Amino acid sequence: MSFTVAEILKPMMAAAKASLAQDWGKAEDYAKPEMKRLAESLAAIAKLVATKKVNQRQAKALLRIHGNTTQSVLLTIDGLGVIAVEDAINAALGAARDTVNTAVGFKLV
Amino acid sequence: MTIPTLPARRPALRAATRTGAHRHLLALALVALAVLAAGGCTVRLISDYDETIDRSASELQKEMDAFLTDMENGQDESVMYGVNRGFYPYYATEVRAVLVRAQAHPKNEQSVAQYELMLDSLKELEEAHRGDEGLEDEGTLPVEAIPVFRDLFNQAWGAIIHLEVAKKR
Repeated sequence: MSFTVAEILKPMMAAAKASLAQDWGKAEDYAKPEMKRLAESLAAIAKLVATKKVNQRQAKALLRIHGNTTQSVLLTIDGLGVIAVEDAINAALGAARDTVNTAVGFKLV
Repeated sequence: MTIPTLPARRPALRAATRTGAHRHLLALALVALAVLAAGGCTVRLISDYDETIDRSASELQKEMDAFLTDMENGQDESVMYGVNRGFYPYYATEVRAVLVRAQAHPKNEQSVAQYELMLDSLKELEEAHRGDEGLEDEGTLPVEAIPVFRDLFNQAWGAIIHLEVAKKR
């Protein structure tokens, strides 16, 4: 049984990189339209205030809710990032497993 | 009296010792990795998907949307705070039920925080609905503002559901 660290490390890094690239795309696909939507809501709130369609109390409530929704969106992006890291680690572990088994010629691990 | 000194180690021997120590560490790391891989170990950094939470979140999104749409389309007393004040504690109870379930999952901090934010937003909505002091029951949500409220709540629920669904793996 003989394999070098480099022989295991290379497929691990490739697997992790591919996994992260895919998951980053998913996070970006989510984040961009959500940010746009938040910006539009903020503009709508500003218009309501400027045209006096809401009183001061209602304006504060709207801004607070907007802030909460923004935080919620950011928490989702954060969660997607954690999932991305998890996927990358597991992809790398899977690659290590495959490399070791290929090197020894049977299912050692 | 001269103090005896140890013979200087030959540079080649020092390098060999260093390389040997490194090789040892790398071999150890490799064995650890192989053990992890062998155990069929998968690393978990975030909680698992919960179908009940997913379903509950979708239901609550629909309920809030329906409530705000009723406030938008209703008339006179039917849209006043006094007639609708019961909605707020009811909805808060429903959200707390999902929050408690989310708290039961380890490594679920993001989702738990999202439910807490939702409870705060509900309080703010009630505050906006309530009339001025002495006239609380007569308060209404401005019709022009309701689409904004609705969109913000829908977006927040969307964020919650999106994260929950992403945990399916």
